[in-house]
Amino acid sequence: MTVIDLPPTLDLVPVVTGDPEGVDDIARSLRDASAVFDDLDSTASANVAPSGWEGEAAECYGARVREVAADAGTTSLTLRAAALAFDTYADELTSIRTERERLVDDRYAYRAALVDLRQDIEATGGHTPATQEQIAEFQSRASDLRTWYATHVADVEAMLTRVTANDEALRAVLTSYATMADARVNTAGGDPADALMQRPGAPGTGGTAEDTAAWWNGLTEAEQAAVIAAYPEVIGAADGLPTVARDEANRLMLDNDLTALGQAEANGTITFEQQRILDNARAAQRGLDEAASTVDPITGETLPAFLHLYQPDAFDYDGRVAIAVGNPDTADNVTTLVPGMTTTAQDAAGYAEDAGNMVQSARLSGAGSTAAIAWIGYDAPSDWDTGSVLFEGKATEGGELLANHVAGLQAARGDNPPHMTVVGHSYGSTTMAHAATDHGMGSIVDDLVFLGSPGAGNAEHASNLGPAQVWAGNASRDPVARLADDGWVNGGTFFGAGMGRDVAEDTFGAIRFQAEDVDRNAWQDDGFITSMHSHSSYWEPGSESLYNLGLIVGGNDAAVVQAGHTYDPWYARVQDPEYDRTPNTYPDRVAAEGDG
Amino acid sequence: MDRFSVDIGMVNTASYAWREEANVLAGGATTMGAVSATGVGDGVEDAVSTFLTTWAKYASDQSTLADSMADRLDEAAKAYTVSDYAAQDAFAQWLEGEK
Repeated sequence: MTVIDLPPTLDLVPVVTGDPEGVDDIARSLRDASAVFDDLDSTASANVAPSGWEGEAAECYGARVREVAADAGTTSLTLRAAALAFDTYADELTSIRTERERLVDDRYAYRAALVDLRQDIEATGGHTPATQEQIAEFQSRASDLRTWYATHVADVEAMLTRVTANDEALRAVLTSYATMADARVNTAGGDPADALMQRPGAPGTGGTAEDTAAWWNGLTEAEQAAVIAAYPEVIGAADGLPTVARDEANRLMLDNDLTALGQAEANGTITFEQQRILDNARAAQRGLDEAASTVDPITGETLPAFLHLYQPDAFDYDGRVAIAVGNPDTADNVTTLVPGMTTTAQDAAGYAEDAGNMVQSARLSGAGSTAAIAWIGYDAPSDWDTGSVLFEGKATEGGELLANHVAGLQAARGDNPPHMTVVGHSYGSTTMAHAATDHGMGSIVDDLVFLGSPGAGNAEHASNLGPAQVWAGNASRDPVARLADDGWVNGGTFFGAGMGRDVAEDTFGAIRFQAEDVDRNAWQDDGFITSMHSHSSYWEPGSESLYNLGLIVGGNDAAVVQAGHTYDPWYARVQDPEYDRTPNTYPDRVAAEGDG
Repeated sequence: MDRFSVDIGMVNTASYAWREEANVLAGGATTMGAVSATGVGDGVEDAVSTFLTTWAKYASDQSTLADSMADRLDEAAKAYTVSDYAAQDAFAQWLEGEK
């Protein structure tokens, strides 16, 4: 009688406890707290010796504050080190869980092979004598199974060893920071982020966006985490850095503002300036929520949202905020929306919605992946300084900021530039013109789109804006677009007022596209024709304007529906062929209900 | 030390900064205190809980300290002011007696 030695069945693969996403939450919270202690360090250091206060009491106070500052720095580094340890732990846990899934599949496959062999042996041995060839085959399969069994058992052992090692590595780091005394010893070398921020190319050292991108790429993952935690206000605003890094830094600050200032508000101790910051923080959060609700109409998936810029106290507390719908670092098409007058950080949600509409229109027109940034990044005329809209000063200043922003987007992409479009609305279009004429932005983007534009700044012709394709989307009833210079009329001659040439005019050289508002002749309840509606409806789903914007942003230029230019005959006032045309609607470019 | 000077406004500004910092730290303590250790494996959950509890309490203590710092500065400012008024009053009474 021939005996075939079958290996045993495999035990269940042990469960690996832990959830990498939960661990990521811990790391994020520790980084938030680290930033809080960085803030304490800064406050304490700035208040060691209030000017004009001297004497023994002042010295006692100063000595105590120096201790607090030192310990705050130590605590910040401690929490950052722990956050990094949790990151490492989460990565390894993810890898272990993947290995466990493989082992579970492997066990099923082994069991099936074992059952097959048993059945084959029983079938043969039960009714028909096995041949020598069959016996040899069975013994060979049994031998393979024994090897398989041994390998599987060893792999399970190795997995469990990794679990233990991962736990112990984390425990070792946490134990080494168990007390303040331990932490002081471990952080005696100071903050490594300080030295990193002094390296050539670091933000603030005077380099270009490309230099900043190169600096970032030269850092290790741990070093990147360190500078984000220590310098979130710098990293969050640094043009040239990846969107994900800026988002992490900006959300650190946003979370802290919402928590701390919210508490101050609840306590009744909040100041006027702090209230403005808190209001802007809440507006930024609403903008992020709006952006995060945008669904890609083709894939049905929610698009990621990023806080690309967050400076709630900028521009005398009007605030600077930029929110991206989709990832500008990976999308095929990237566009930046530049808003016009009266826009502040308070408008973040509305512009995030416009950005989402733009992405959806591009996707519905057949474009590849698309990201849109609602960029409230310059000091648009608003509130008390609305009168400055008559002049280009804020557009000139904003032009430099916008050019830096776009150069940063390109630098972050390295050798993989996207199809890049900038869309300037109203006063923002004049700002866009200055970015192109004064700072060369027209050379690093594919398209410049003027929407409801009061003028092209100091560009007399589209060719002055650089090699980018220039588009004009001025509705015939838009009163702001009518402010631009046509023919021989030049607002600039009136004490420097006026925003420049009409971009829709035949002599300017832009391609004009259809952008009429279907409600352009409607009457409001108060009895006025809704002419301003034409100025503020360019991003309305289903409109001519959004239809064409989607095509331009997606690079589908040939399909854009062009419009006749305005012209200024010597015998009459400025003529607009769009005035009498009946506007179209594009219901197929409206994302389904719930898509954003 | 036989001399001192004080700008009450600057002391008040420092007090204000500490009061604001107390709020920020309280927020940080709340954030850390709300973190759950359940994301980590069973083998290390105790160490994680201990770490989080320790440093959340430290943040809370620092918030209290920042508030105390503001209180001490307020007291110092008040003491300087009272002392100045007392000195002024003494001179006023002396001058009154001369008349």
